[in-house]
Amino acid sequence: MTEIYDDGILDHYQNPRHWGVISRPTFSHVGYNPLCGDTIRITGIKKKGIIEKVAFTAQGCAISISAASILLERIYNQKQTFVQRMDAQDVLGLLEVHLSPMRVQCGLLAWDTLREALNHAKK
Amino acid sequence: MSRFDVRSHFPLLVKRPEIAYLDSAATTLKPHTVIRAINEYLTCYSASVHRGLYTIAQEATEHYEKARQKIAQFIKADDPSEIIFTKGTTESINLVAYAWGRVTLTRADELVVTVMEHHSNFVPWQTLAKELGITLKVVDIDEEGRLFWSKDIVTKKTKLVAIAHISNVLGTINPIERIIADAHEKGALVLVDGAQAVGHMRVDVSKLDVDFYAFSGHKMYGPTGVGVLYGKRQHLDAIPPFLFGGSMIREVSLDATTFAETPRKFEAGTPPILEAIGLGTACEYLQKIDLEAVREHERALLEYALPLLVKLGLQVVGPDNAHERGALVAWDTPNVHSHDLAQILAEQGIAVRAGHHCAMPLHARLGIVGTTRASFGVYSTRRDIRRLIEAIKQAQQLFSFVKETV
Repeated sequence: MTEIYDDGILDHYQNPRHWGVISRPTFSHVGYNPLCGDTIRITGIKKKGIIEKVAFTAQGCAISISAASILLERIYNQKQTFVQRMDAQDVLGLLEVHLSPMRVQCGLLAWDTLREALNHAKK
Repeated sequence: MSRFDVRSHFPLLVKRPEIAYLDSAATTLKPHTVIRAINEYLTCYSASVHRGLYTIAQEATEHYEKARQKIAQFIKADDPSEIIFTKGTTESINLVAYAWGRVTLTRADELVVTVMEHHSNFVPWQTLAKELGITLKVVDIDEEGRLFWSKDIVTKKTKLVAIAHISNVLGTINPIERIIADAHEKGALVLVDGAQAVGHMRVDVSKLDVDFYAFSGHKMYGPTGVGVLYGKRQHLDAIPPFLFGGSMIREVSLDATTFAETPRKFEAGTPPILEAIGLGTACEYLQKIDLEAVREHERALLEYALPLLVKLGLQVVGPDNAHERGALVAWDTPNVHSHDLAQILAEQGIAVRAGHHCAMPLHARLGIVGTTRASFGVYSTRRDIRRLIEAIKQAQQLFSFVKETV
């Protein structure tokens, strides 16, 4: 019935993976999209360059929440360098649906927040 | 409904019959008369105004000044010189904030705005108040989105009340007659943001006795890039120019410049000529189909839509009674994010707007992140509304799991 709300997106929206808050995180950040008011909080623990734990809580649309769930699933247990090598196209590619220009910001909110968190990670 | 059949006047609706256009509060579609007027300028006399001595320059000047007259007549201004062409409502308000505000206001003064203002009638005043260290009073609303107005809001210190004629989110028609009378009694001026009113109801600036009235061309069937600041002649004469450059001068020497008279004093640079001509034609179009009929048509649509939206369990904001509202309705859809809803509607060719509609203080006041808004124009139909209702139902169905999980 709809083009972008396919089963994959709706599944992640309904049952977001890595939902929650990691206690004593080594990296964390709250991202905000002033255009729509959506917020996301990402917390995680990085050890020896590996993202060992990561979780998010968010208040937002189906796209921003699904995109966060899909992104964290992909980067969990990966090296930080893996995240650093990703670009916006890679992140949007994970969603497997085409977003209109106005919705791209929803698809990238988690990624922007994750990069910000990792950039300020405790050593 | 069939009595008011103007859809064939709008080429876009003929070319794109699949679209249910419900975003006229953002911008209206353009009737063929407006398109023709613009086209005629571009193909027959596309010269600059006020300077050239050749035929087409004179024709362009005549049409441009004629447009000013048509607009003056349309809003019942005393004189065409009280019509200043700007880029739009935003620039019109900024003109008053910068040119009038900066030279007139001092630290002891107060400005009054309301919590329902569009950012364009809020941020200029907030910025000015901070810069000059003056007090900005913000008038609150009641549970139905009506203004909590009382006479004593305006004090001897108040220099200006800046208020929307119709809220672009709540739809509330504000009692500006009363507000203007109360303000004048204390010696304060009133600026009305008429972006959502002109083109939807009769506006008579003389009868209102309003000091400044700002509106946009493209929200009333004219082109983008042109708007109007109406101001009483005595105020405009007293305000220094806003933008400096060509066209707005009388004489320039190495030592000094004298300025042209109102309205040219405020129209520096080559003006939006084709846009102004298009807007003049839009006024004629509206006069022809009659604004009483427009108001009645749009009010009837709202009366049809409101109960249907409420029945879907939506949290409609603004007054319950269609008589108290302009031609728009916004709501919060429980369990469906406004952008998800707008996206699903878009996939079915239904054009609505979602988000904070440039009214973040209002949404904070309402305690909601964003709303979805449907707004009407002369071409809107009950069928558009039925399509909207059906599509909202489908979106609610698609996201029905949210209730169970969250």
